[in-house]
Amino acid sequence: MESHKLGNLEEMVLLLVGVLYGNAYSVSLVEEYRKQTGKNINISAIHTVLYRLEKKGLLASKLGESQSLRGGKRKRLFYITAFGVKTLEELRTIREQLRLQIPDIVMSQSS
Amino acid sequence: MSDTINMAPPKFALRFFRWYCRSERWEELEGDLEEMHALRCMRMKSKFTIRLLFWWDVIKCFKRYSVNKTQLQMNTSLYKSYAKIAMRSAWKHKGPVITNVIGMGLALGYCITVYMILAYNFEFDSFFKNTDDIVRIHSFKIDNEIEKRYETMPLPLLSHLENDVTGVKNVTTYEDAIATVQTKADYYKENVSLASSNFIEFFDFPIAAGSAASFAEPNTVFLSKEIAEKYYGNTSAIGELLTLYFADNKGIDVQVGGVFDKIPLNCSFDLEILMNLDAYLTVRKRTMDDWKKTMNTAVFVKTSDPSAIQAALTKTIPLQNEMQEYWKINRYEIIPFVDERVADHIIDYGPANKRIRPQALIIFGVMGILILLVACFNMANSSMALIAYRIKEVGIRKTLGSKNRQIFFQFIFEMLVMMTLSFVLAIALTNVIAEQIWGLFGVSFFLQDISIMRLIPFLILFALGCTVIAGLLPALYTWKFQPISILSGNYSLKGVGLVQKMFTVGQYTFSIAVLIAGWVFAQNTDYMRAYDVGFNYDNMLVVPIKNGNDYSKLKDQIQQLSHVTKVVGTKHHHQRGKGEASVAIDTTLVEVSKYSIGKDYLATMEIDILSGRNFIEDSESDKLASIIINEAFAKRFFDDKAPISERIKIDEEWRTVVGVANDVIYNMYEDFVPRPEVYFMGDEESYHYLLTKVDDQEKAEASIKAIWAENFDTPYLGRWQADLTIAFASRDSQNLKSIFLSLATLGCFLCLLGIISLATMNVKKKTKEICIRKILGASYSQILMKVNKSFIVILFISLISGVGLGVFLSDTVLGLIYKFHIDASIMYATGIGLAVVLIAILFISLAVSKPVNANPSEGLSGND
Repeated sequence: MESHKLGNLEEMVLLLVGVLYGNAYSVSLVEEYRKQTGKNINISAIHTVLYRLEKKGLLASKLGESQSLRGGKRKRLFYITAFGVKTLEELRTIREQLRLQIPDIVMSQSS
Repeated sequence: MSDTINMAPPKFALRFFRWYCRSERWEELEGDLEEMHALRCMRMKSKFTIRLLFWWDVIKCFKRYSVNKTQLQMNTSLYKSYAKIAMRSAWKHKGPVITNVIGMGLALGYCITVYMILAYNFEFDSFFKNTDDIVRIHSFKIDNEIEKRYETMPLPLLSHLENDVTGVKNVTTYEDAIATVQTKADYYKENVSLASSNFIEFFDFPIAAGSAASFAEPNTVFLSKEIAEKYYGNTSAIGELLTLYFADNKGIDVQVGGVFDKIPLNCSFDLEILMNLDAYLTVRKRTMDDWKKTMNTAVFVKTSDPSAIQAALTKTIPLQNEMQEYWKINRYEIIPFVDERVADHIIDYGPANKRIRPQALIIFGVMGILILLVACFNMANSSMALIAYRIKEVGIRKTLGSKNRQIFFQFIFEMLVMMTLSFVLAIALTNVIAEQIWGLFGVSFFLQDISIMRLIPFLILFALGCTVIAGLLPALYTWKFQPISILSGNYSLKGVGLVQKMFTVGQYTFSIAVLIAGWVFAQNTDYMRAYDVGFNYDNMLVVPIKNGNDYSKLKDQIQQLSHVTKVVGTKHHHQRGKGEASVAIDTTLVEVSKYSIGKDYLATMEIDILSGRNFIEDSESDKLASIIINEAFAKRFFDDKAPISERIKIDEEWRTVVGVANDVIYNMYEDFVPRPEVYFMGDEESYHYLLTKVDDQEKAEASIKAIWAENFDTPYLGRWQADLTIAFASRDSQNLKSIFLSLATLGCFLCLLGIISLATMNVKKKTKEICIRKILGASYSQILMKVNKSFIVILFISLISGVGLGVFLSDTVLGLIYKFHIDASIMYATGIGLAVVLIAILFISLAVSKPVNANPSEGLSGND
């Protein structure tokens, strides 16, 4: 797992691809990112992360159908690979384990 | 969705994207960009923002994942190769490249300085903000039948403007003067300006210390930052006391109320020390409304209706001409404070608005263009000479598939590199050159003082322009090389013939012309120094005094000094003050200049008495009833009649003419017509000046200063007459001489470089011919003659055109500036031209002597 370090944005994009299952491409990811986090992101940043995750084997892609909104050009749809799912699971487990180790007194500070 | 904007993405942005994007990613990425664009069109309203964001996306997408690597690598390596070849070639020919860069850098440095001089004028007063409703008042006066423009108006009209004219919101006034300033430590001679109490707020001057409102307090002065630093260093100047001595030598005590922040040189006002005009008038026991002792000052008005001011002032002309008998105004014009009509702002006199005269701009501009052309032609010529060494390189590159376009680009690129280096050098040198040129006129104005936003486009266009002028010919020259003939050795290196020869002719013509101009200016300076101005100003010291008591105190002591030959007192003195008198001719009154003088004044000044006699010492009748007139007076009022013993009514008194003195010239700039002048014999009590003639300036002045210090607490204000007389004209001439001579030196240096390059190339072309001639027994001088023949023709054509241009240029420039000047002598000009030509021939001979003396076997073996 150590060899598959993920940055914050990479993890976020991986999760969003999962959320948008079947319709995850760069423009929809930009929109979803804004919806979920309330922050704007440039499409080029999403592109960079998507291609990097694909190279790492966490995502797979294929060209989808064309659309008039896109000037008749096809979009590249992304899917999480089994390896991607496994990585996400591992990340979640680590986080939960760490979370459980925090003393209650620390957590009670927020309330 | 009715608000949806229907707009295609920006065409050029898309074209740029398609250029850099790799083919396998193109469809999805362009689709994404277009979809983002379509979504923005639905959500946003500003087309500009939508376009901008699309461009931003395209630029942000220029990343590793999208870029077509092969194309990028190809382009990068191509440019790298251009740069590498350029560097190698420059390294191989270090000498010519360095001299070219230095020569071009100097010429460009001068041109940028010329641009600064132009910028001084067209950015004049751009420092002021919100000046749309401010106007200047210009009055016109007929002087010697020429209408002259003055930026002045009589002070008593100020309150009329303020109170009675519609649309006037505010009025302020400004006057300049020179005063000696006494601080705790020392005396300084400074420009002291006088202005209304609202002046600082009127123009919203930046204040570094103190408040603008304190200027209204009595006897308050504001200092410039430089003056405050000069007097008080880093300590605060506020509250410090100063004493100002104006021309009448009576001190006014003032207190520093504030310090200005930096104010640029190219602004209407020279604010070294600014004093409140009201306070000045109060000390002088004068008022603004007093017509008898009035001043004509620059006046600025904030108004919504300039035409109302024009109408109001026009109505006052009769009153004003009645009150100011010797300053009769013809008409008024109201000019915006800042506007594009530069001609309206070139005034004949005014305390403010001192712009550079257009003549100076023309002179510097023409010189700049000439010197730049010399440098560009030189660069083109020497680049072509360097190409002679690179034909095989071009042949091989062409054989390996280089296109003509690429070779052309290579040479233009190299020129651009050299030009960039020259520009870097030029910018580094500009402030040094500017300091030299502006310093001659006693001011400093640097590159950082002009608008950088205008300078940068100028520099870019300038660099490209110079590259095209200097680089086009060498680049085109390589275009027509035939690789087969180059590599087979059959290629004869032909010059581009006519064009190149024309370049050389141009280069020499301009250089000879500039050199002649420099020489003529040098001659003119000497001529002006020797010109008979009607009096002798050598070794004459003029000391302003308060009255006759001061004179009698000083006279005896000074007379006893060993280096003093003459001492004389006078009330008026040429260029330091005169009176006006009205002469009754039939029924009309004519104004003339009046000088009330001491007995020996004319003799001391060496103003000759052409007929009649001088005043007789202690003669009461001479004091009361005699008069000496000048030639101009005699010509105007007596025609052919002998004026001696004639009686004229002057200032309501009848006086007898006892002598006629020669005219005095004290302005060599203008079309000077001597004015009618009269000399009265004045009382000793009225003396304002003590004049001494000395034989050792340094020793005499030191002794006189010591005597002054013993007798008075006030500062010594003596000046040498030479500084007062033709000083400005002579100094300007001296300055122009220095500028022209330095430019001429630069021009000649560039020319020599050019001719050496050309000669080297010529020898290169004729190497085989020279070798064969040598083997067949030709002597060194015969070969030299053969090689130099074409240059001699070029040089002699340049000689003729250079001498013509030089003589024309010098005469035009001198005629533009001075009324009295020499004419350029064609004989001397030809001599200078010939000297240049001979030096050039000498240099060519030296340049070609090496290949001519070399072993012919080397030349014939082709190992060149």
